[in-house]
Amino acid sequence: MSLSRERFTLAQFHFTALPANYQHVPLEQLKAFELDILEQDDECQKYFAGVWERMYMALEKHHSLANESPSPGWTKWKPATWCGQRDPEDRQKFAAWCGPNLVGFLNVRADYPSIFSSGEKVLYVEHVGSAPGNLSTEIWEKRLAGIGTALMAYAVLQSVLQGYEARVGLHASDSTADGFYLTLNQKRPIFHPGRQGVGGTPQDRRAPQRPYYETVPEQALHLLEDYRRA
Amino acid sequence: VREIKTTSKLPNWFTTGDADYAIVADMPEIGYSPDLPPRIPTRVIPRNGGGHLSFDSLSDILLSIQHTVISVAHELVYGVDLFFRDMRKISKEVTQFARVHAEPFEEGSFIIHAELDDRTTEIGGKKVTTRQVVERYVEVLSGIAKEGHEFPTSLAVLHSIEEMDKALKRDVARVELAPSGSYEQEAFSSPVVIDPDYVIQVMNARLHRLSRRTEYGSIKGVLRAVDTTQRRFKLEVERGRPIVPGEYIEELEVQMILALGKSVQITGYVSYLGGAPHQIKATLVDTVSNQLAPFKRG
Repeated sequence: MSLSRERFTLAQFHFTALPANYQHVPLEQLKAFELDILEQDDECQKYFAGVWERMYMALEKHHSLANESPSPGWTKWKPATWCGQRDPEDRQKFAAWCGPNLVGFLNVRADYPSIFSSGEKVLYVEHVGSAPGNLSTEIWEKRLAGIGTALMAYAVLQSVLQGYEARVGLHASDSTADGFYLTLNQKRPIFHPGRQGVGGTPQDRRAPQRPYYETVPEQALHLLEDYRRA
Repeated sequence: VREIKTTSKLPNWFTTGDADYAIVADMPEIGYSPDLPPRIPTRVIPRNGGGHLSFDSLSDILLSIQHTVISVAHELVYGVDLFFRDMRKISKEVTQFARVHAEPFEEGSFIIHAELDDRTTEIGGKKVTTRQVVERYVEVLSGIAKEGHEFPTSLAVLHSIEEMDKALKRDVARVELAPSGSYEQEAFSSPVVIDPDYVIQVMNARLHRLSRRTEYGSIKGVLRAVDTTQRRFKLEVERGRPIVPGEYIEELEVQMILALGKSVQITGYVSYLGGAPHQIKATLVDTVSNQLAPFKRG
C-alpha cells in the first residue's frame, strides 16, 4: 500500500474528546472538547508528578485500606519519570491537553518489525494513558471519554507521517484490555487477531506474555479519517 | 493560559451512528507497568506509639542502612572477609554502585521508600547487579537473626547495623525492613525486625569476632609456604578462608621444608580470634599425607 503523504498533515485533523456522560446528552446539544496534542515538555512532567501520580497513590491507598482487589496496573506507571528520561532515545513522547488540563499521553517507538506484513515496520505504541480523572475507578467517575481513541488515531497519523503506512503495533496491558480488543474487532476490525509470544521494547520484559495487536492499515485509516477537519 | 475549547464537530465514528461508538469511546489504557527497582522499604515504629520521630534517629537509621548496603556490596564483589572492618577501604566504585536514595515519603507514615538504581556493573572483573546487593542484604540480616555470630559477614556489616542502636536508645521502638525487588513480593509480609534484642545479637557477634584466646593444641591444614630465614610459615586451614600465619622453632626446620605443600597436623600454641585460628607457634609438625595438596581457588 502506498499513501499520499500530502493527504495527511497534522493541520488536517482535529482530535477531540467527549464529555463522559455523552450517551445521555441530546445529539444537538453535544459538544466535543478540543485536544491539543503536543510533544511533552517540563510542564507535563510537573503535571504528571503533581497531579496524576498523586491520584495514582490515592487510588492505591484506597485499594489497600478497603482490602479490595489490587489497584489497576496503570497506578504503577511512572509518567513523570518517563517524561523526564532521555533514555531510550527513540521514545517519542506526546501529551494531550484540554485547556490547562493534561488529559492524556502517548509514548511511541519507531521501527519495530511488523508481525503481519513481512519486511515492513510499525510504529509501536508503548503507552497510551488517559488522566486518572478520565478513568472510572472505585473512588471517582470519569469526566471525559474518547481520549484513548483520539490518541490511538493520533498514533495512526504519526505512523503515516513517519512512513509506516498506518501500521501500529501494541501489547494489551491486561486481560480487560484484551477483552476490549476482541469485542472491538467483532464490530470494527481495526486490529489483526491478537498474537501471543511477540516481544516488545527492551524495557517491557513481560511483553511476550501479553497479546500483541497490530492495526489493519485500511481500518486504522478509517479511524483516523473520523477526526478529519470538515 | 490555555482555555478549554469546545466544538460541535464530533468525531465521525460518533455521528455516523455506528452502534459500536460506545466501545470506541472506551478504548483502554495501553502499556506495561515498569519493573520495580531493587528496594528496601523500611518502616520505623516510634516508641510508645509516638506520632513523631527525631531527625537524629531518622538520620541514624538512614546512615545505618546506607553503610550496611555498601558493606554488603563490598562482600558481594570481593567475597566475605570476616575481619574486614574499615569502611574507608571500600572502593569508590562500590560505594557509588550501592548508593541508596529515597523515593517520596508516603504522607502520614514513617515508611522510607529506600531504593537503589536498577543497575548492572563490572567491578574488579566481576559483574554485579544492585538486585544482588539487596539479595545479599536480606541474606545478611536474616542470617544474623537466625545464626548470630556463626553467620559469616564482615565486621563492617555488623558495625553498620549496630548504628541503629542510637535511634533505638532514643525514640525508636523497632525498625522493620522488607527488602524486595518485584511487585509479587508483598512488602512487610515477613519483615526483618531490628529491635534492641537484634542489635544486642549483632554486638555479641562483633565482640565474639574480636575475642582472642590462645591454647595449646593441634590444627590440621595444608602447609602453603615456609620462610626459612625468619622461621615463618603459612597454613591453609580451610579452603576459601584466610591463610593462617605461624612461626616454628629451629628444630622443626627440616620437617617443615619436607612438609611444604602437603597436608599436615601442627601442634603448638594456637591463637584464636573470634573463634577462628589467627596465629600459630608450632612446636611439632606431622605430615598427614605425602601427596602434594593441589592449589585450587575457592
